[in-house]
Amino acid sequence: MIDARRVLTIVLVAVLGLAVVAVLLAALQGVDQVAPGFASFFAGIGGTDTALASTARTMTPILLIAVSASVSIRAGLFDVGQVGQYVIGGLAAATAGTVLPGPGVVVAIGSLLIGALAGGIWASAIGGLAVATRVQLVVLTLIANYFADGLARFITRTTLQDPDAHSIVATRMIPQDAWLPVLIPRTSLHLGFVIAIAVTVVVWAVVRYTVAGHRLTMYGRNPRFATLAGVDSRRYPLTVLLGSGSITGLAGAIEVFGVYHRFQDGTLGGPSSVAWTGLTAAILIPSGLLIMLPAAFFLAALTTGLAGVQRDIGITAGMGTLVQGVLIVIAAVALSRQTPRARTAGRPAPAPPPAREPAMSAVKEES
Amino acid sequence: MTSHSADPPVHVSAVGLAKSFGPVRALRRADLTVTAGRISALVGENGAGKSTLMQLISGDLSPDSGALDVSTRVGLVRQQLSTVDELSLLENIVFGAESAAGTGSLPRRLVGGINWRSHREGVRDLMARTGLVVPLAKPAAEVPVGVRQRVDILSALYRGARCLLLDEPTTYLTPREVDNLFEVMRDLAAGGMSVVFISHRLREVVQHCDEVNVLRRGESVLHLPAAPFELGQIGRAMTGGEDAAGDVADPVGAARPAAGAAGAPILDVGGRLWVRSGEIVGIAGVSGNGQNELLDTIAGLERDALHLPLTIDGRDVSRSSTRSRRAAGLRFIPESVKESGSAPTASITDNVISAVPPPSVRGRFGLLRRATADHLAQSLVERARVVASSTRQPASELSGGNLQRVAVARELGDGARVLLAHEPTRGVDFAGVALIHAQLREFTGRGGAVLLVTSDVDELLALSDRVHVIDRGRLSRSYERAQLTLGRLGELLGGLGHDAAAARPQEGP
Amino acid sequence: MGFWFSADLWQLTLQATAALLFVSFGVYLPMRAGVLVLGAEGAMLFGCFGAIAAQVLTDGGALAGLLGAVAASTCASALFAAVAISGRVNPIVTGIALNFIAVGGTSVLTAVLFAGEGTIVTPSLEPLPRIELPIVESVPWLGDVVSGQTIVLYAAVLTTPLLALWLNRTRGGLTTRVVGSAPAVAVAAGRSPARTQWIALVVGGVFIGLGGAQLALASAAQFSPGMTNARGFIALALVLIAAQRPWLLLPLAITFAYFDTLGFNLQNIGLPTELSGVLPYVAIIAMLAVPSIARRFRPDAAAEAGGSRVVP
Repeated sequence: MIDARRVLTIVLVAVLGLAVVAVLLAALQGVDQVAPGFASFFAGIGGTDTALASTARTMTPILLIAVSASVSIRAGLFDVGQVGQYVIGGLAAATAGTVLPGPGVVVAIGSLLIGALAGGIWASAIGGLAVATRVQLVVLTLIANYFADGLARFITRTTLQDPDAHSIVATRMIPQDAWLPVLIPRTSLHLGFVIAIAVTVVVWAVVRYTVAGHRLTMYGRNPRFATLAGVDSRRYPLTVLLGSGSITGLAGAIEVFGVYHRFQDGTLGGPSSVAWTGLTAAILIPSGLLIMLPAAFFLAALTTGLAGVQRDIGITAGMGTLVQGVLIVIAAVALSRQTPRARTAGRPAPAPPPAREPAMSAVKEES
Repeated sequence: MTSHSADPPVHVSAVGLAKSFGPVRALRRADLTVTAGRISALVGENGAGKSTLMQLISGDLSPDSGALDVSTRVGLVRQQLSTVDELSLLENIVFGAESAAGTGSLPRRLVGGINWRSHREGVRDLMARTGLVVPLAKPAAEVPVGVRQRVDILSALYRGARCLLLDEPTTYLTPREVDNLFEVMRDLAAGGMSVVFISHRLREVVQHCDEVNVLRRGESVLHLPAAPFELGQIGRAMTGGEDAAGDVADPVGAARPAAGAAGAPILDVGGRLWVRSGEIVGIAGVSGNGQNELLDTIAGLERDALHLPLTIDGRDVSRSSTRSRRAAGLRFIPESVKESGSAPTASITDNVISAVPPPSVRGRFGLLRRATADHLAQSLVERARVVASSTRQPASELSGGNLQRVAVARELGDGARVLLAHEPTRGVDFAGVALIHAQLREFTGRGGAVLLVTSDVDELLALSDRVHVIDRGRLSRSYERAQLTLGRLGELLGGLGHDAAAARPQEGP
Repeated sequence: MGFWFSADLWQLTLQATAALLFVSFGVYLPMRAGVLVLGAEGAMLFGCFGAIAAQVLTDGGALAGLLGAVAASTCASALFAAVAISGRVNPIVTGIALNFIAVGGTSVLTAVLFAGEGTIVTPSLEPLPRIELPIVESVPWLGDVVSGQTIVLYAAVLTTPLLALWLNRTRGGLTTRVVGSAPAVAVAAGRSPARTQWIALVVGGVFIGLGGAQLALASAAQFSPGMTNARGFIALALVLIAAQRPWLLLPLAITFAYFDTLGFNLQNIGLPTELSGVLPYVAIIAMLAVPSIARRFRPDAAAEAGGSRVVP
């Protein structure tokens, strides 16, 4: 549900984001470069059809991953393993894409489903490991992000490597008839954008109107209460991770089928992975769903806008990451300053688990 | 500081204290005089302001108005014990007073080193003087709650407290441990200390204290300077003259009428524990003796614990999930409804339908019928006389008593056959207790069964038809209510006595 | 002894241990005060950058690098404390934000200070000096492995017992432990949890900075964007395994560092280089699993897991 407070938050964060960009431009390039910088920034976002399409393309995985992270946060699970799920989903889909027989449509659909499932199983397995080892999910998923990257590189290099690709670690290309179709000719916007929006709306409707969605929300609000009511506290968190992980896995599969057309090491994972950006959206607005549409657009615009500035004026690519970090701090401080009354009325905000607590314990309300 | 030449010194003198927290007036006009050598009682219902008054005296809070004169060092022993699990008992006692005996060489002082040897000697000396002996090297997590309470008392004494404030110190103690505690307190008082004993259990107050102070809604309403005390008078003062006070005064007096139609067992745990239709079976015991494990096992939350045949209405559910046990009619009110039996940020409606909504609010295609849910919640709120402005209100805005009523009414709704009630009235005010007791009786009246687990012996004797005693994970045989007196129950609680033979040997893990 | 115990491998293992151990201390201390420092990865990256930037800017050699690393990482930790403790923002969110700021910030600073992108390496950069230990130096194998390491390694090894002693034997240590497990009790005794956690985080920042300095300056002095490579997160895992046993950090760090180093050297015996991205994580998962497996085989496992068992 979109309420006024959250829209206000988004607007505030967007304005502050632009202010941070302006300050950085002034500091790095000089005050006189701020105006041309902003011109490049907005040109990068939507100056041309190509630019706008590129922003929408960038938004696709960010949106799916934001929704995915939002689902697990809603259930009180602080899963930050989206990078790993994204990589594993992409690798599984690419593998399926090169192996599955049949017409392109069938290969594409089958591969997207396999990619989604792989992401879900990975998330669920890491969740199971957190339960077994009693290590906080957040710590284990952070490590798993690097593990997934290393594992995907290892598997690709040793078994799936394209013999014609010499300088890169990558699988063979997916047959062209299985690629996700481009929506607007001569741009990079592909069908995945529509899939992402459809998934967002479906997840929102399920959470809002169904018993399953109600259970998810209630589990996040108090897992012990939900357990007493009959939710299996051992299986349920893993089921949630299976579901949310498969949304991120789908994002990886879509990126492979829509953009890269193969799995290539370093495109999906790593410290500058777009999955971190999706997670940022979910952290900025905990448990939001439809509101992820503007949030993902904003973060995608930040990315492509800064790419425009980089192209025209020459700033470092790290600036986007820096701005994201600063925005999280600003938004989090702004949200934590709200009155207790406003917070009780809103959705549960993720709160810090104490240093030592059962790994899968759900987050509690902030004191 | 006033001095009385002949009389024993006055440690605390409070006159007309008032304290507000925002709009809430916790204390309006409280008076209290604490004299060396005496054990004073401070009684009152939940929310009467006892804890606030204690915090004023201990200096944790300062009064808005009134005169407070504290002439000695005060030690407050909270109901929520302040031992730290991972610290040893010695560390627990010394924490907060490390520098008192911790002087030493220059380098040690520079890094803030603690002279553990001298502290250990000091604490041993204190233990010898007071008779409060604890194993100093053990971590607090490994000792029972009674020992941890002694640690808190030792800690206050080690800091040089001459006036001890004990907030509900008997909550977790067996009757025998309560007697021991008062013996120690009596010795301390004889040595010139003063003790304030805060409780809502009037029986203990009457037995052990030298004077009684009653607080009601933040005001001092009664002061009895010397025994004998009349329970009825104190009870009436606490409640403001409500008739129900008689119940408190003599809960054991009137034997409950025998349940009319106690029929076939609804709940049966391996033939050793069963509850019949129309029956309330009580489990007596000090908290932490396996009650949680027993209830969790029956509820299906801890399925690995034991594999005894567990039947509900004759159906074997020992391998079933919590969910199917609920479907069979099992209901559960957990020890802390706030922590485990509700979702504070969710609306009252969501709390009524819980995470696994009843069939009536499940529509086609897995949809949730919100309107039906609101109706259900509305009727429950009216039935249980819950004070709420709307069912959309978050549960966190309900008072503890109202929240408890929501939980009880929810659990006793459609399809309930047997209720596990764990401390169903803890933290609930007087009127709320009566209402919840009435709800339980109404449930058994229409054929339900209740397994009542409570550490409050008065409640247990007032409600139960039969009583088991649980001690260190072992359950005694059951005793008919008619065979039990408070004294007999006390004997049983103090370690099962000669009934140990009736208990089964503990099975291996 | 062959490949697995070769002096070279173990020499590099100890070199990696030093960095990991100090970062672990930097996570451990705040953990005992009740704060999970998810920003350790970012603080360490700032530390690495500070080591190089301070050297280049001041031309002060290795010592300047060491101080620069400590200063940069302490500032990052102080930022974490300001947001998470004083600003009362969820420490997980703060940690993730700090990691973003570190990745982006070091990249932007590289552009500003060095007018470039990516790795900073100039010939003028001075690595940390190697210290030869008398006597040990001449022992076979041991001399090659233990002697000739940087001061950071020796300091790290010495800090382990000191940290344990400080936690157990001093006022500050006792307060830290109480704040970490029962903040309300600390408040009742007149100690401020926020102050204790601030101090733990700032001192932790110093430790993390020393780890960053070791990483950036131990062998070839350089800074590259992804150089911390999850060490801050690994430290979190080690700290959670160590729990209330600080001395355990030493063997844990050595074990992880061994597998980390091993991964990069397996190509010497013909295994694929890509194993270096898998082996350390398999190792850390195995290390995490050991305590729970051990728990399962302990006779009093049931009692520990669920308190007393009930027999009706």
